[in-house]
Amino acid sequence: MKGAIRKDEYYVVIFGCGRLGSRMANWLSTMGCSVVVVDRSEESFQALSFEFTGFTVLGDATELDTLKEAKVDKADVVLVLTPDDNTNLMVAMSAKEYFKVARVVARAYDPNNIEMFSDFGIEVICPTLLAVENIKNVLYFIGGDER
Amino acid sequence: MALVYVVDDELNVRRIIKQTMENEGNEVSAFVTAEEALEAVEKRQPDLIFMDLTLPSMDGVQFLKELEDRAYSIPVVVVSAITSPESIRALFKLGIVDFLTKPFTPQELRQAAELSFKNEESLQKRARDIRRLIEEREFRKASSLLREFFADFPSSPYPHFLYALLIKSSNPRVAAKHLRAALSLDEEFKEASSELRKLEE
Repeated sequence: MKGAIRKDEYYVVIFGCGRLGSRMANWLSTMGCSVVVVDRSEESFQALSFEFTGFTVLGDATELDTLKEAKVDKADVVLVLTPDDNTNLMVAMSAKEYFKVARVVARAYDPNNIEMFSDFGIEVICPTLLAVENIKNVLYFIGGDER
Repeated sequence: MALVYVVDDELNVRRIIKQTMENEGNEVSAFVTAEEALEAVEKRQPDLIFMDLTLPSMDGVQFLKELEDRAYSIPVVVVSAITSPESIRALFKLGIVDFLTKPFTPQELRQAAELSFKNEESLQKRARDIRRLIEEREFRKASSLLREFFADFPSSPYPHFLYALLIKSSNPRVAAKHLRAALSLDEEFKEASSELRKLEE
């Protein structure tokens, strides 16, 4: 029953245990969330800190069995953070459409892909656009506030 | 507040279960090995045990058998990555209350704990109801409820004890057998030993 879930007991599944995925996993874990990290490389789990209290699942995120093993159907939030936009779209769509996860957040490197993700109700984080915004801010700061 | 033991060699799992069960107001102690947990059970009996199957040295199945041999009737929930139907079936035969596959959600843990506590409450309530029927000499009703009670709680000493109360006047020899069975399941069962003494006099 999703309404009865306490904030500190969110069940979060993260796909991709790279720099971003592992940091998110460590942070969510210290916040008290129940976290499962999925990656196809066992070595990647070494990036998880000692404070990480969740589970790791070794497997290919594009395979349905891996999503089932991670219990995506029970997730309150799914974060799709692999380095590949196509993989992220496929996994995020499965989580949203097949497993009916309420909140799915995915990373899209290419700003041209954002619309595709949004069409399926997937929330998108685009590092390229975030970097552009940051650089703009830095340049405005150097040149004086021209906004 | 219940006393909960966690037996798992994975630090993550011990932490998750401890955190979730403590959030529910329970007292939790965690152990890495089954031997440590057994030692703790001998000192203080918990209300519930969460246990992994794959443990260093003594494994989960041996631990369950050891609990049975020492006549403990503690609800056990197994948490494991092993999901073969044969293993799960064998575990339920050994009397576990629930089985959770890893990874599990905090909700699944809470539900398993609630189920265990409810089972224990339901055992006590049903035992009281059957006893009342026997005292009121409603033997037919008591007998029918006892049959179900035996089926639902085969490892509990209560069905044997109540059956002995039901038949002690008509068949004291079989009643004594059931009292001995109850005592073999729980050596500390004072009422059973007192009834047995009376029958043997």
